[in-house]
Amino acid sequence: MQRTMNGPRWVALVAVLALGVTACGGNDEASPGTGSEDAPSGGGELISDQFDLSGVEIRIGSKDFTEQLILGQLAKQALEAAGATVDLTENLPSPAGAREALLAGEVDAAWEYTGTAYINYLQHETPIDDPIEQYEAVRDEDLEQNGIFWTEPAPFDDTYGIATRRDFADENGLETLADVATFVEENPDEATLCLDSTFGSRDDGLIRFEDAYGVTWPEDQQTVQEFAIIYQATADGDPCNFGEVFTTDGRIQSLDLALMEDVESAFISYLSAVQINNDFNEANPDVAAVIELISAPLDEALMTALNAAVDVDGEFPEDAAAQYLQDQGFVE
Amino acid sequence: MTAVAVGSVDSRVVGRERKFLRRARYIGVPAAVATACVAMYLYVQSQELDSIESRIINARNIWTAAVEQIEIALWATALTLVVAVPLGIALTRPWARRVTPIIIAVANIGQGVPAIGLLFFIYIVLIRSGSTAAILGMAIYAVLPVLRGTMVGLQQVDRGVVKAARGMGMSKQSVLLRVEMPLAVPILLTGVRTALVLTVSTAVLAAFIGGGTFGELIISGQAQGRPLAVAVGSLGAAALAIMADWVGGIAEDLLRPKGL
Repeated sequence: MQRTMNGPRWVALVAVLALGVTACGGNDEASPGTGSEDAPSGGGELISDQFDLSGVEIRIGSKDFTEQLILGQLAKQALEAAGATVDLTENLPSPAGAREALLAGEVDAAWEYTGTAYINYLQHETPIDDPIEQYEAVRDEDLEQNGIFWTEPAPFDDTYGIATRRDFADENGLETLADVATFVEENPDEATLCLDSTFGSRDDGLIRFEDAYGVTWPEDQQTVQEFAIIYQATADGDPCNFGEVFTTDGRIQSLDLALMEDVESAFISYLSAVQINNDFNEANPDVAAVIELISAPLDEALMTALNAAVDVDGEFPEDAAAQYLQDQGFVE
Repeated sequence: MTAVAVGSVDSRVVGRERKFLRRARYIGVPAAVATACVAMYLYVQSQELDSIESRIINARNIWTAAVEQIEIALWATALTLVVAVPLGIALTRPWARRVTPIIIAVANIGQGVPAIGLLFFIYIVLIRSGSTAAILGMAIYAVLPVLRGTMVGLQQVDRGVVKAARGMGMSKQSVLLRVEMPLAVPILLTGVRTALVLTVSTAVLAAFIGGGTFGELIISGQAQGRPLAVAVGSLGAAALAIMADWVGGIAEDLLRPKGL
C-alpha cells in the first residue's frame, strides 16, 4: 500500500530542497556601503587592454549562496570584458554541486574554497594551519589526481567564526573565543549554540575551537539547523545565544552580531580560487590570468562589503560584481 | 446445493490463503527491514570510518535520530487525528454542507505548500523550537489525507442503512456512533496509516530547523561528501517509514470491526 518513500528518493528530495533553501538572506536594515568606499582607488588596468579572449567559450559554475553568486558574476563579467563568451550556471548545490559539474565536464571552471577542497574533495581529515601551504597542497594534489588547475587565490579568507548578539556580548564581556570558552564552562545553561549540519562533524569545524580553547561544548546545548537561518536565530537569541557564522557574511554587519575574535587561530583558512579543467587551462592560459588579476585586490573588507551589498542592501549579485570591477578600474 | 457447497469451500480456501498472506506480511516486513539494517550494520563495521564519518555514524547519533523522528511522527499523528477526525465528522453532517468546500480548500493549502517552506515559516515566525515546529508542520501536512479519509469513510456509508437505523428509532448521535462510524472505520484507519507514514517520512525535514532526525545524517553526509552517512540516514528513515506502514497495517486488521 503506502510504500511511499524509499531511500534514494529521499536523498534526492533532500538534496533538491537543500538547494532551494540556502541563498538569499534577510534584508532587515538598509545600511549603505556597497564596497566602493573601502576600495583602493584601483590599478586602472583595463582588462580589455591586456587580454583578448575573443573566440574563447567558457562555462562557469557557481554555488548557491551569496558569496559564490558574486564571485561567479565577477568571473563572468571579467572574462566577457576580455572578449570571451561565458555561460554561467548559478546555484549549483553546496558544497559539492559545482565540483561535481566540473569533474563531469559540465562546466570548465568554478570557484572553490581551499579548506572545502582539502577536507571534502581530497578527503583529508586534518587541515593544514598555514593558509598558503594548504592552498599549495590542494593545488598540487588536485592537478595530479583530478586534472584540475587552481588559480592563485584571492587574499580574503572566509573562515568559520562564532558570533553572538551585541548586547549579549556586552553584558557578558565577550570579545574573543577565549571569552566564549570561559563562558561555556561557567554558564553551560546559557551556552546555546546554533550550528549547521557540518560544523559539528567536520575536522575543521567546532572541534578546532574545542581543542584550541580547551573546552567541550555541551551536546544538548547545540541546535543543528540550516545554515541560512542561524544568523537570525543568533540575532534574536532564540533559540541560540551563539551561532556558527562565515566571517565574510554580510549579515554579521546587518544584524549587528558580535564576531568573536579567534585569538588562538583555531579555525583554518578558506582561500578562494578558481578551479579550471586543466586541458581547458592549457589551451586558454589567459583565463586564469584574468581571474588572478581581478581577484588580487579582493580582501576581507571588500568581500564582506560585496556580500552585504547583496544580503543587506538587496542589490543583485551581478550589479555588486559590476560595481567592484568598475571601482577597481578593470572595466570602464 | 452443490454450487453453494463448492462456493463455501472456495471461500474457505481463499480465507486461508488470505490469512497466510497476512501472516507472511506480519513477519516478512520486519524481517526484511531487520535484514537490511543488519546488512548495513555489518557493512559499516567492515569499513574503516574516517573521523568525519565516525562523528556522524555512531550508535548515539543513530539512536537519537530514531527517537527524535519517532517522537515527531507520533505527536504529529496524534495532533492530526485530534484535529482531522472530529473535523471530518462535523463536515459530513448536513448542517456543515456550506462550509465544507472552504475547509477542504484550507486543508488543501496545508498540503499544497512545500513542506520545507512550511517548516521554515513556522520556525522563523511562530516557534523557535525545531521539534515543536516540525510537529506542527507535519500535522498541517497530514491533516488533508486524514480529513479526506474520515469524510469519504462516512460518506460511503449506505444512506439506506442510515435511514433504516433512524427508522428503528435511533437518535442521530447513536446512528453516527453505532452505524456510521463502525462502517467508516476501515477507510478511517487507512487515513491514520497514511498520516503515520507521511509524518514519519517527512519528519527528516526537521533536520533543517534543528529538530534532529535521520535527516541530520543525510544532510551532514551529503554536505561533506560522505555517501555512507547518507546511506545510513536514508536507510534509517526508510526503515522507520516502512515499519510505520507495517504497524498501521496491523492496526487496520485488528481494529476493523468484525464481520466487515
